Order: sequence, then C-alpha cells, then structure tokens
Amino acid sequence: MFQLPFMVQAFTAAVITGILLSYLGVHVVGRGIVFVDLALGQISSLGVAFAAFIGTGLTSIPLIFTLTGALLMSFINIRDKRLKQEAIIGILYAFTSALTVLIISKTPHGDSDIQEVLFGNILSVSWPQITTLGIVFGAIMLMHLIFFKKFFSLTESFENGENHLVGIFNIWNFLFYISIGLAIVFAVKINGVIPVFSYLIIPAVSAILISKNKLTVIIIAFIISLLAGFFGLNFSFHYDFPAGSSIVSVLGAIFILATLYNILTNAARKKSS
Amino acid sequence: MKRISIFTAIAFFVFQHAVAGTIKVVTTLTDLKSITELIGGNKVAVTSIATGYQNPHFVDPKPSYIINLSGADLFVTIGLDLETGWSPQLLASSRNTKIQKGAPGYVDASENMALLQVPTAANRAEGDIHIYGNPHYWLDPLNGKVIARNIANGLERVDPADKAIFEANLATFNKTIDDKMKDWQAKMAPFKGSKIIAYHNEWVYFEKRFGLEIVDFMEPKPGIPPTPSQLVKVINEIKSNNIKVIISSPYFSTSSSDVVAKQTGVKVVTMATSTGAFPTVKTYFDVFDYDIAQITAALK
Repeated sequence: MFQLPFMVQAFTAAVITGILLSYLGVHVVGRGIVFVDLALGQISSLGVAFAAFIGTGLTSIPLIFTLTGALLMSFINIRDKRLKQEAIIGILYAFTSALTVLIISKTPHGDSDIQEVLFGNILSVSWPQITTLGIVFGAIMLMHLIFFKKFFSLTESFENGENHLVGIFNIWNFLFYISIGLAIVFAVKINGVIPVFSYLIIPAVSAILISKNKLTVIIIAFIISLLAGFFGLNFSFHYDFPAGSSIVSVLGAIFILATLYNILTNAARKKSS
Repeated sequence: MKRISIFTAIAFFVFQHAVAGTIKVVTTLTDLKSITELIGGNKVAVTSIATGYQNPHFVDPKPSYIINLSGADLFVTIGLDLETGWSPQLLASSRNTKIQKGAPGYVDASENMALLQVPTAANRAEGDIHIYGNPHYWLDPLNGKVIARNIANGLERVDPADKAIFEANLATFNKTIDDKMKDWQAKMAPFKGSKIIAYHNEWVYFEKRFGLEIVDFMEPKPGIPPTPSQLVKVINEIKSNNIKVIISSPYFSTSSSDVVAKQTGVKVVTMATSTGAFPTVKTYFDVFDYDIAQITAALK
C-alpha cells in the first residue's frame, strides 16, 4: 500500500489531522460541545453558499464566516442552569443549515460549489495541501502545548459546571474557539465533514472510556487516531472502499471495543469490591 | 509478509490487464468505455471510473480509480466541466505523466464537438453553470461519431502500429450509427415536435436530434431541486400544452415528478443517460434503443 505515493499522502494527512483533532476532541467532549464541529462546518458551508451567490470570495468568505462564528461561540456564556451551551450550538447549526438551503435555492449549482470547496477527499490530497495543513495545525498544536495548563483549567471549569467563573471575554476561551474553527475549516477541506467529526469525537470518547487520567486520555486518543488512519486506509485500499468512510468505520469499531473494555473493567471492579 | 501479499496483489492486478489487451485505457464514463472497446477491439483493456447509473457530476473517489489511472496508457474524458469535481484530482494523484492533460495519452472527447448552449457571457446568476456549453453531448448518436474519432486519434497516438485496425473499426462504428440512426429516426418520426418536460438540463442534444421540444425542467435551475412554485409552473404547462411525458434519469428522485404525474396524469419515464444505466443497456447503441423504446411507448 505504501509503495503508492497517493496512499502515503493520504496517510500523512490522516496522521496530521488525527493528532490535532483527537487532542481538541478531549476539550470538546470535556466541555460538552460535540456539535461545535458540525455547527462550524455548517457556518463554513453558509460562507460558500454566500460566496457562490455573490460570485466571489470562494476561499476567503467561508474562512471569515467560520472564524466569526467561532468568535461568537466563545461569547456564549449561560448563567441559567436549566440551559446548556450545547443547545445554543444546536440552534446555530439548524439556523445556518436553513440559511444555506435558502441561499443555495437561488444559486445554480451552489450545491456542487459546496461539494468542491468544502468537502475534500483524502485520496486526492496533494503535498502543497499537506504542507499548509502541517503549518496551520503545527501552529495550533504549539500554542496548546505552550499554554497547556491554561486551556485545560478552562475546560475543567466547564466540566465542573463552573462556567460562570470564565467571564464573557476570556482570551483563552476565544483562542480555543479560533483553534477549533481553523482546524475544522482546513481538516474538512481534506477529509470531509463526517471523518472530521469522527476524528474529533470518537478518539476522545473512547479514551475517556478506557482511562481516568487526563494525560493518559490524551495519549490514548492520539494512538486511536493513528490506528484509525492506518487501518482505515488499509481497509479502503484492500477492499476498494471510499477512504473517509473506511476511517470512520474503523473509529466506530474502536469505540465499540472501548465500550466493551469499560463494561468489563467495571464489572471486574464490582466483583472484587 | 504483508508487503509481499500487497505486491502480488498489484502484480496480479497489472497482469490481469496485460492479458486482456495491450493498451490500458481508463475512461470517466461508461459510454466512452463502450466506444473505446468498439474502436480498440482486442487491442485494448478498458475500465470506466463512473458507473452507468451514477450522476457523472459527482463521483466518490476510491483507491482503485487512482491505481487504474497510474497504470493507464490512455485516459478518455467527456471534458468541458462535467467531471471537474473529481477527475482532475484523480489524474493528479495518479502521477502518470502519460495521461495528463496535453500528453499523448489524454483524450478530450469533446474536441471538434458542435456544442449547444454555449453561454455568450458567462453569467452564473442566469443559470449558465456550464461555462463551456452543455456537456451531455453523448446523448446525440451522431456526436458519438465525433467521440469515436477522438478516441481513435488517441489510440493511434499511443499505438501507431495498429492504426489500420482502429480506422477499420471506426468505419464499422460509423456505419452502425448511420444504419441504426435510420431506424431510430423512423421510430421517432411520428412524435416529431412532441412537447415534453425534463428533470435536468441534460437532454438538449437528444431533443434536437430527434425533434422533441423540451418545454421546461423540473429543476428551476440546473442542480436546484424542484421548488413548489416550479411544480405549479410545470403543472400548468403540462395542462396547457397537453404534455404526456416527463423524462428523468436513474440518479434523480422521481418523487416531485410523481406529484406532478398524480395531478396531471403525465407519465414519468426514467431514461438511460449512459451505457450500463440498466442491465439491458450494455453498449452505447443500447442507450438509444432503450431510450427511444421508452419514450415512444410513453408518447403513444
């Protein structure tokens, strides 16, 4: 499989995407905002639809839309205990989806524009694309490494329901949403929507099922993303399936295994106690 | 061990092709495959990327497409902007210099084609999404002859030694088209000028060749699913023009057309847009045999 250049390119892209997204996923799952990816992806689609409608800015407008969306999301701060942030993100998703449909209905082949601009295919990724991806993702990763503690104490305050302590404008919260926004725009361009969503959520959730330690969770999530990239592409190559869906299926299988592990260890613990 | 098994798999793959023929050809559509096989005879082994029942605007890449392309001697495409969403990317990933645009192994079947609906000023807002003209040109059998000529030229570029064979096959192909054309024209003659509705703007070449008149489309603009106001418009047009048929394609939902059919009694006919659209449509000629049988039955 790795004698073929396009499979090497696909695997490189899968590794870069997998590492950053599985890391960000630990935050996303911890904060309970799993729809943030789909909502930002949809805002990006709205940007493409808008650009196609006005006939210009097919690459810049979606990026501006997504970053603005990420900025707005970082301001969401709910004091009412009956409401969850997830609900607001869900509303944003539905609202922007509807707006996209409305704009597309007045734009000939707007649908195919969205397909072309937003949904990449990992099998036809080129080296220049991988370089861009590496630079953007490397920069985000570096920022998170340097300020690791800042980002994690923020996510923990969300986990503990102490979000009222975060404040309306918190620079770290803002930077977190910008990271997510950028990561999603670039990753979706290469992998497609569903693989990106899966890379973000499945390794993090599976790792949480396996371990309780924060650092171990991150490491397990990394490993899961790498395994999924490797076995997913192998599966796609040997049985000739679309690559993105193959990776997602492998991630799904890993999640099932992690769930089984979780059930078994819990049962074992009960017995021994 | 794994490495070896992959190698053998690839080697076997390549070998399989080598026995079947000498020139390895990859086409984007099944119609191009059918015509290439007719022109190349036993000198070629042809694979098509898209299937005959797939919307040619959208194809989800699989590894085998790129592997096939990387070992191909000739690549045949419909061109214009029909396959822009997927074929350039696959071609680039294949890294096969023999079949890149401009290389001898690259055949653009639309060369010297008399295109319809070429926009005078590319204005996307007006629905002129096909900036080079309507790319569904293979649905006129006489355009099949132009396609065949382009394919023969390509085969002769990569295998000049067998030029005589290709030219003889081309002559046979052209004669078959001419013979069948008489039959098709005769069958369609009683329905000359019949008004019909089409789902998507892909029948303009068929319409012009066989003297039909497409009054409107189910899609308000190409690629936009039917809206309520469009359905009302189409229903009124069907009633005022006494239209009997809506023609659609295998990859479009017929639910909107069925609504119109219930309201007006019009018949919804799913036509073959490409070779392999239905099990009985095995060659490029079968496409027209099938479509003309369907449409004449519905118009009666």
